[in-house]
Amino acid sequence: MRTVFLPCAAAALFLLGRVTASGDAGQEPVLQVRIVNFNFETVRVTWSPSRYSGTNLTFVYKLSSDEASRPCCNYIVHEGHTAGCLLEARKDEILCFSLGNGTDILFRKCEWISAYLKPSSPEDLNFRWHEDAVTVTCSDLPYKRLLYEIQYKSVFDTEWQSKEGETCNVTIQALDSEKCYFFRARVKTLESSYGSDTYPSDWSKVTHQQRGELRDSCQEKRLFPKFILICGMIALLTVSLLLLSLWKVRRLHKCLMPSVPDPKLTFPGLFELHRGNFQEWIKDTQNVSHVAKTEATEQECVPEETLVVQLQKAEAEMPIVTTGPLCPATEGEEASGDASPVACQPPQGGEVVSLGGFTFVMTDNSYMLL
Amino acid sequence: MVFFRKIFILQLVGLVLTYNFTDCDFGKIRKKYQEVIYQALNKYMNGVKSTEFNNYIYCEDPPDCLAKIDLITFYPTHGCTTLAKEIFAIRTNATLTLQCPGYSGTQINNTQAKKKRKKRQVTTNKCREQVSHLMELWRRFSRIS
Repeated sequence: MRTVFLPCAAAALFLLGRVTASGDAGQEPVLQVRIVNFNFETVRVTWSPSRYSGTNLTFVYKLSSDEASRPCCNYIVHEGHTAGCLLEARKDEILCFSLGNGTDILFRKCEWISAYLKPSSPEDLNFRWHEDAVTVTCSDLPYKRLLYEIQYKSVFDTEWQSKEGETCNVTIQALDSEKCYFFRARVKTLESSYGSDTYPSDWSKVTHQQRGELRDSCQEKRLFPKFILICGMIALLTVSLLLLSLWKVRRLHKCLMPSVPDPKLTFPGLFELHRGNFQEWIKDTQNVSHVAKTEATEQECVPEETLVVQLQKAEAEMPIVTTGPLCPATEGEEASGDASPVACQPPQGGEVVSLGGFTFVMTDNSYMLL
Repeated sequence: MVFFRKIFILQLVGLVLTYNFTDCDFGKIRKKYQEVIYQALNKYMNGVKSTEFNNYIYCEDPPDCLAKIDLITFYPTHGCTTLAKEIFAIRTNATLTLQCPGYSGTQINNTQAKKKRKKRQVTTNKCREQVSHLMELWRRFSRIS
């Protein structure tokens, strides 16, 4: 049995010797180096060009299965200078590489390439529906300790839901087969087997499934604007109805409670100069002699619309106001014989008002406020 | 110095070669690793990533990985002599004893371990490097078993 293990032991010793010579264990990295292992097929090593910008760094590497180190033959060039190397991988093994500037070695590192694995994304997803569950399957990748993550959502969901399995055979329960579902898948690595520096695979293409059948799409885009359009129309209709009812209410309010004219505007000076004493105001403005008599009567003059009569000062001395049948002459008036010759004449198409020698005919919807 | 180190490692390799690990139940060992040993290794590293060190110890198949894990865990190396007393080592020893028929395990002299413990502060970085190798070997073992 010893003979079986001797080559391994010798290999371990050789590798230990290599590192002792390089003396770089635990050494701070001089460059920022990023490694991505694409599905154990291609390894991309890139280095930060900022510190050594303007210099062409050389990359030399050796995989565990190689007999000797070799220079990079597929450089990634950035702005005319080397910024990375693409190398072919064959299996899960250790990559030792060094970065140099001429004869100076700037950086040296040995790593398992699995520590930077980015698996390829799952292809050809298959769906097997059984009542309210679906089993999603695909081809397993040719290496172990992976997690196959299936995400799904219906057209009514905003967030994806996840289910994981160690093989690409994941069953999702409690689905409604009538609904249209989106499905996508990716592959992740188990941290206990690959470490925490790996990358998940890209997502597979989204697949649409409804009633156990493949769909081109879930009509999410068509359904959504229709819904918005209906909502918008309902909102518009509601606003229109509200405005209409408001307008109706205003009109009703106007009918029930008509606006009362402000006497301040009709009788300038009545409130400002005479504190609302109409007698004083009328004396001051018109010097009407028979107003007192008119006041004595308890006739009601129902205003329909205000006719504003305002005399010039010069005319104010002249009597006189005579009203038509709206304010008939009192008994006292008749007795005194002061009545104007035109008083209580029958109206011709309206009532007659005499004022300072002028005669006015008022229509039905006019009145005079005194 | 390098010469003596190589001699020392050769001696350790010779010790390990007394058991070949081919009859172990790799599935159960992997399960135990994922359940208990992995956490203990992480705790020992205390947030330091294994990729911060150079990892150059390759193992080809599960028996080879277990042989190298056994070597690094239980046999002291220059600059790190106390790993065998750590929790992950105790769990490793228990797992291998249970799942590998004929594996006798490793007896650690407690008095010797206590004496060495004083030097632990100085050798921490070297021990962490050793444990980073162990982590990578265990990961490799779990990927291929």
